Amino acid sequence: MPSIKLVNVTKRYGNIVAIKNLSLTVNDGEYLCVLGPTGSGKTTLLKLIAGIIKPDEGEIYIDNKLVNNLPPQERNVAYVPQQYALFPHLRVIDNVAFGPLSKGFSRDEAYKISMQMLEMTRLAWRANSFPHELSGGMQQRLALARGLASGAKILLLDEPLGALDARLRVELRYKLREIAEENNLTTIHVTHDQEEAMVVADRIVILRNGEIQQEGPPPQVYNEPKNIFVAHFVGEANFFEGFVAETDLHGSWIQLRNGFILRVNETNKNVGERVVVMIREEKTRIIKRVRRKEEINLFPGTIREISLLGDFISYSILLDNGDRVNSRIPTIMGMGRFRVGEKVYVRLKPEDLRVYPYPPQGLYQELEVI
Amino acid sequence: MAVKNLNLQVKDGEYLCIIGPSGCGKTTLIKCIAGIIEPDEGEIYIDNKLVNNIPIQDREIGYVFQEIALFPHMNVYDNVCYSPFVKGWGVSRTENLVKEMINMMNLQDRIKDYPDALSGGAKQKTAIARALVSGSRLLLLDEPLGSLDAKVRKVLRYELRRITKDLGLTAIHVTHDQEEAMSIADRIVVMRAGEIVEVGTPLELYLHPKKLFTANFVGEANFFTCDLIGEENNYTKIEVNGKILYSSCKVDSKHKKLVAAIRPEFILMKKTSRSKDSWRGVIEKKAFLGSSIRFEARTENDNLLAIKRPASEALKFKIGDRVNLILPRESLLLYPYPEEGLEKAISIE
Repeated sequence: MPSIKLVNVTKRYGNIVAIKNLSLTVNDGEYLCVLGPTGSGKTTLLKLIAGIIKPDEGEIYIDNKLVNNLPPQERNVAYVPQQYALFPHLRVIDNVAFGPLSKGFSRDEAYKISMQMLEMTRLAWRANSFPHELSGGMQQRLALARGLASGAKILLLDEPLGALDARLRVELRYKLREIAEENNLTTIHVTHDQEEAMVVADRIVILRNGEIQQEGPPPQVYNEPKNIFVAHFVGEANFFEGFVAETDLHGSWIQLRNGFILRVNETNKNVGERVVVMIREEKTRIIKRVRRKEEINLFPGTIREISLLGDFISYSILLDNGDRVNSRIPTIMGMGRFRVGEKVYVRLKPEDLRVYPYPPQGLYQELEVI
Repeated sequence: MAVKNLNLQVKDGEYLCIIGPSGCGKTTLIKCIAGIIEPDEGEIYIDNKLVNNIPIQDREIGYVFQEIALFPHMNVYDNVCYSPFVKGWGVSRTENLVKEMINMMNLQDRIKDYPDALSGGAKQKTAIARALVSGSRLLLLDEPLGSLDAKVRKVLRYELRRITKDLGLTAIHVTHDQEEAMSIADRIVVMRAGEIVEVGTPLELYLHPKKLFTANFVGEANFFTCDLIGEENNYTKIEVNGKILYSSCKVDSKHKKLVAAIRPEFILMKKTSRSKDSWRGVIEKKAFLGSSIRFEARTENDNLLAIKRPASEALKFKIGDRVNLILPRESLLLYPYPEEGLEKAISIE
């Protein structure tokens, strides 16, 4: 099982810097997801590792061997592009056998390997079909089988589920992970779908404008986002603008819009500093009545919208100070609890709040992934 | 046959979503309504007026499709203006309306930008503004968010709903994304192989899907075949691989073989339980989903169950743990065993 290492890699397209001085290590047998919005450099990163494009600066190592000047076919990688690029005139089995045959395997050997790959991707029963006779999900599995037939132990997947229906995506992502595990592959899977990344990955790398924003196991990235962009892009979060009004040994008081005061546990910001406070939507609680008036971090507001997401219901609340928050509650608990127009209180527990410096270019710009 | 003998009524001011797997006929259906495709049989009425022979440009429809089609040589403002409806209007009327739509879509800072300077989301917002500016009361949306990133889709879907409701429009929105449909639709039409499987509000389809296919397509579900034992205290008693369960669903006693379905998020997981609705099991898999955790557990009667629990319960359970899985009778759905077999009945490919 090989490892992958990038050291200070930069790639430019004309004036645009697609990858900026990026360093990254992928361990033996690891399943790594690279997550980021369109244009963040995800595909460029994969192509650099596959050898389809060359870095302008920096080194790329596979299995501790410098591969900068090695052509793709000698890198021991299977690259599965977003558009599967299947051969339309070849049967399923011939599509898979193409790689081993061109690598110089005997016919018998090549077809034996190909059949194994088709069995692994549960397509053996369609070996004699043509690609256009397969469903989208099957075509995806065929592309995977073809990539793996060359014997590569590194799997590079570019939006492998991007062309599929949402519901099918959910089903196939578990299969991808299984196949990688069963075959001891080192996998890099590129996606813009944060839920997909969290479910399949051992580790997530979040990319923006060619730079790594954060890397770590999914729960760490989700629970301890390093900046506003990560908090917004991974999971659903509410953000409040404010100023640090006071700090003491145990926490700080943040002045929000129109006189609302919020208690947070963080103490590392300066009084007067402009900040953004973040809380996950599922940690944002709604309550009907306040029992003890002296309680902190309880804000009055009105339910404005209700929408079902499936296992969660999302309530959108306009706070009396003009801030808008979303709260998501498991459907089975949240069904019919509140109605549009109802006056409620929102509770934000200090331990669930994180504080970030106000971004220089403004909060709205920082959150815009559109 | 792309669409088969289909009947559907969309109410004035309604936001209707049509969902279904690839090839189910949802795009054909919306194209028939738009007038891009003519039906071989049957009638289409808009505002109680038969429109079969009315060409697309006379149907007074706003149409937005997946492939974002803006004129590359025109800026946002001119793209929004470019509509045959707008052409005959006076300058001031056009300007007022165009500005209003541009403001509604939060594009006011981008009016001078050309399409290639816009992100995918901003392009699609421009296309939506253009469809709205024609003043049509009916908006047809064919996978309007399909080419956008997951995060952008989530933001824009609420904007779509908000703007159609604010303007009092009737909207028909085709999507393959069931979460998108559930979160914004007043009613959802589930299609498969050219036919309507089921129509209902998001909550109806989620909580009480009438068909097995819907149970699988709208949200996730565990399925197992089981035998009907009878009735006990107003609950239906069933046997699954040697274990008894109860359901509040009523089934015709002529169906001896059944399929039981339960959503992963409705299963409770406890270290110990005395509930009669509980199975013992061992956790085999655990995946982090952010706000929730998805487990897979092998039960004592050898069923593999998917279970979703709030993330706050994540630390309580780990792989290898022996647990009790409670399948609440109010959440356990029952269906007659389908003629074509379970796998085919729920297949989404």
